[in-house]
Amino acid sequence: MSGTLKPYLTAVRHTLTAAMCLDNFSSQVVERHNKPEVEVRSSKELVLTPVVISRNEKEKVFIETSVNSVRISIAVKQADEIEKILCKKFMRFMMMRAENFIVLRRKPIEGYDISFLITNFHTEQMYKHKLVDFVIHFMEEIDKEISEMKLAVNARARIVSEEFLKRF
Amino acid sequence: MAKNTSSSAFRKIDVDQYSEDNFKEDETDSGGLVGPDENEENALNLTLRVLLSIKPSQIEEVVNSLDTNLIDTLMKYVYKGFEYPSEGSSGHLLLWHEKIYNVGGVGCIVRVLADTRRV
Repeated sequence: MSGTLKPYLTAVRHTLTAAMCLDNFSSQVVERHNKPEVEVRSSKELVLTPVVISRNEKEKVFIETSVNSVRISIAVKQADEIEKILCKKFMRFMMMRAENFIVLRRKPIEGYDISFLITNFHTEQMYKHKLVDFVIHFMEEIDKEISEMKLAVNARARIVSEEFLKRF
Repeated sequence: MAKNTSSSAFRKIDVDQYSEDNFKEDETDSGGLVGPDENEENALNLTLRVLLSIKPSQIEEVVNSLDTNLIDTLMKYVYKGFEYPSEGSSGHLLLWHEKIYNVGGVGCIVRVLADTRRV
């Protein structure tokens, strides 16, 4: 199964590189406002075709592009209940601290576990290829992190039960 | 002096509706199946079936035989195929994506994103 990880990440990387072509764009509705069009959707012609890249039924990335912002939503693999809980808690932990991550969105899009919102201001302040690298690195690490945590939880549970059963 | 209105109703006008492109029927690379609704769905199903039945070793050959327009359309269908993942289909489509990218470059992805004629 891990054989598809590399082409998956490569496809996401190429798509992100293509999508992250952002420009400053003031709101057409309110004077002196500047909002990410992918969020406000004030006009149809400002939002481009959204695309999905999937690795299997559960793991997929949803990329929505607009003239001044990209929204990237990631669905992480969750094989069993433990992984589901770990993923939920971990994402919640990060999203509560979203401003420290700068490009993280405070709430994920429905059906996905975590979302990033990259605007033209981010691409102006940071290198575009580094932003793409960050998202790819995040996707690589999140799977690893969750399976490590799962192992840790299981190992701890085993030790605890051993200690407990010693008394009998 | 021109009358100043606060109406922003004109922002809601869908300019795409008046574009000439919309009078042209979508071209597909699946034997000229065109038109809206069920035909479009048939075209998608057919294209995906064809894409998935081509062996990995032959993909490169197929992609190389297409011109730029067809490559863009093919890329659209690959992205569309990702939306309906089934057993093993995504892995195959990822392979297609990679091969098409090698020929078409970033440009063909940008054209998928920017084209208003969706498949």
